[in-house]
Amino acid sequence: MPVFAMPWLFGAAVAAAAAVTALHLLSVRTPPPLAFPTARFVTDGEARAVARQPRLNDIGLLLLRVLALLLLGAAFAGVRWEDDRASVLHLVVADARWATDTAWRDSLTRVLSRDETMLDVHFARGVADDPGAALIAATQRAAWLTAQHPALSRVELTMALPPKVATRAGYDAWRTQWPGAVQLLERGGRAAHDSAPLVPGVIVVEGGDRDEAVAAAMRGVTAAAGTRVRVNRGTGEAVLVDTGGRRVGGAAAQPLVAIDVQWPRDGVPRDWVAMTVPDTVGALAAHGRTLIGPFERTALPNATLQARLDSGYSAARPVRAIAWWGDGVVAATEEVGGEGESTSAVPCTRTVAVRLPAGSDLLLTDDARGLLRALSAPCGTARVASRSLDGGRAAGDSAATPVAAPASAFRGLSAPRTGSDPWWLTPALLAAAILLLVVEWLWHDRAGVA
Amino acid sequence: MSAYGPLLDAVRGVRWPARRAVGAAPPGAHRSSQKGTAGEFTEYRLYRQGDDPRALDWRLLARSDRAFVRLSDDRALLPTWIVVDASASMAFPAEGPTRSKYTQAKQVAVGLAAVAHASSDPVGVVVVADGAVQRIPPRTRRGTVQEIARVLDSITARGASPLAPAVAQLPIHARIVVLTDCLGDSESLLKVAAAHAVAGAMFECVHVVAGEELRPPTGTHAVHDPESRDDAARVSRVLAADGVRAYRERFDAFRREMATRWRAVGAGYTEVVTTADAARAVRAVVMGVAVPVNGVAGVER
Repeated sequence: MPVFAMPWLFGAAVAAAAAVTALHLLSVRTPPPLAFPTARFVTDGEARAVARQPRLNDIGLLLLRVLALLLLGAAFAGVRWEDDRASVLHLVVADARWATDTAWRDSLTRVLSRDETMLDVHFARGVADDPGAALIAATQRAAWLTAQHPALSRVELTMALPPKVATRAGYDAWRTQWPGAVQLLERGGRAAHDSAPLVPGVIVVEGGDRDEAVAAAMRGVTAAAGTRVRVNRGTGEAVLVDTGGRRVGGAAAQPLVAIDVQWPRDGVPRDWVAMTVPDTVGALAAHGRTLIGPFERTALPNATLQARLDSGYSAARPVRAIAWWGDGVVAATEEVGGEGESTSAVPCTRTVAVRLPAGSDLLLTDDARGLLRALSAPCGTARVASRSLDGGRAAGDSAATPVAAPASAFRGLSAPRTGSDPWWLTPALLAAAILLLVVEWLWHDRAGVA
Repeated sequence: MSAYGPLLDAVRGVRWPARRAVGAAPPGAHRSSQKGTAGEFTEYRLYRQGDDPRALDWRLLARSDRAFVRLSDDRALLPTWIVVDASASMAFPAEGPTRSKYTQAKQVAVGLAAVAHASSDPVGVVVVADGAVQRIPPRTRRGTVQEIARVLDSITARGASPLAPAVAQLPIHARIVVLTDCLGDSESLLKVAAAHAVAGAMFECVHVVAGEELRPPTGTHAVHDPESRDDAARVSRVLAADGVRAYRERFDAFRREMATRWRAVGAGYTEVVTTADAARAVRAVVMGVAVPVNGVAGVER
């Protein structure tokens, strides 16, 4: 089926052809001349009479002109020959770090391939952390593909996600931008990182000093070297416990999930080295929040930790950075499978090398509170289940049958392809149109001579 | 002459008497206005001094002792001029099942010449075509009709030339027959005809009308007068189906006006349609009667 990169241009050609046809129908035709001696007795009239009944004249010339116009329009409109079966685009967006897993990719293609559907597997960074990245990447990819393939009418989106993602903030923010339903595909072969305990929410601070959350948090965390934060599995509430596992404050003892947050007020965490001359940095970023303030940097990751961080996150090296200074230096790390209590299903150690400035109004802001809570929260507490994203369907979405987004919603977001496909189609159409125009000129000239 | 053979056969024996007495002329077949001493007695008149004594009726003088002279009408020749209009309008229709007006005019002219020649009248012809005037003076010798036919056949109707100057040069003591479609200088021609008629000439107008002029062709055409020299006016009028009625009314009025005006100047007027038989047209002209032809207007007297 021929499709056009610029359909309006072909439409203009069709309109011009229609106008030419109308002119042929409405052309003023002079009646045949007749030498009539008694013409003086004919009532005066206009010699260029218009035919009363529309009738095509010079059908050959009309066909030549109309065909030449259509060919010119098709050539300039960037005609392409598209398989009309591919009217549905099935777009699969997965995390970029899975791009090298060709076996998974092939199996995905095998499973999802359907007739009359164009399958496109697209990899984007950050999808495993926040599905919002997948939505953004899907929107961009859909815009590009719909511009390249005008025959597409619908776009189905499937996001390949790990069982748990770091946050859904971006997903929630961008969900309304995708005009259709979103299918979730949980990728098998979970990484160790993904198997961290799932805690929907954490209240870090529970102490006596309720007037100053930061001070309370720091006091709780740094109360003693062996202080742990445990989370009440039933209520999701985090409590401080002492080295003996006893709750610091709070009431009844309940099953707890072990976490280990090393955030010393003074000194440096383990695997970190103290800077001989502390410097100052202006910002701290973590968990999607950025806090600008007069931070003092006193420690840096040691060579071993830095090497592990540089080598990337993997099951063998389950450590990653979770907070960064404004200049990009790591400020906090998280390691799965680190030291933990025996009660923990999967121990996790979070190390924070941030020295908070002494009491300041800055730390009373919401960003500061959220940042501190996130840094002091147990490992994995910020992760949410991928399945919970189902609740973010657009209005009218059906849980059983995903609603494909209309391709028209993405057209115009990306520059359309203007070239023809195959490449020789435009030159061939132009040559044919010019040939027809030459024939039309010769024909018209010959008719004029005749 | 083979084309005119049936026509000449058809008009053989036809006589074409003058419509009134002919003036002084050599003896001929037409009644003369002159009184003479011919053998055919007409009346007596008292002898007057100067009369030829040979005209006295001596027997009557002996019986009545009164001198009377015997009078009789003279018979005179009537030279006949046949003027044929060979303008471009006479070539209509140039093609089609019917003959053109010029062809019909040729047939009638040859027929009239034959009739006049048979009456021992001198017959001549004047053909006006494309600014040129070709004439054969009236003759009575043998072969005159054939010569007239050859001249007529050698001319193609074209151009626009006035008939009046050519007719004005003709002698007044003659019969002048003009075969025309009256679409040229009819006003001037009527004036010349009136002058000639007053002077004693016998004028006949044979108005040649094409059948296609009476019943225009169907369809829409941009009609133009072939004698018009103005290119802009050549395609200035459209003859369509809804305009035929008005056209015919105007054309009929024109023909009636022509008949009235020609007769008003003392000339004979005969309308000949191209669809009419030429011999019957000749008889109609000669006999001065209206003969319907093919149910159409035919010949009108």
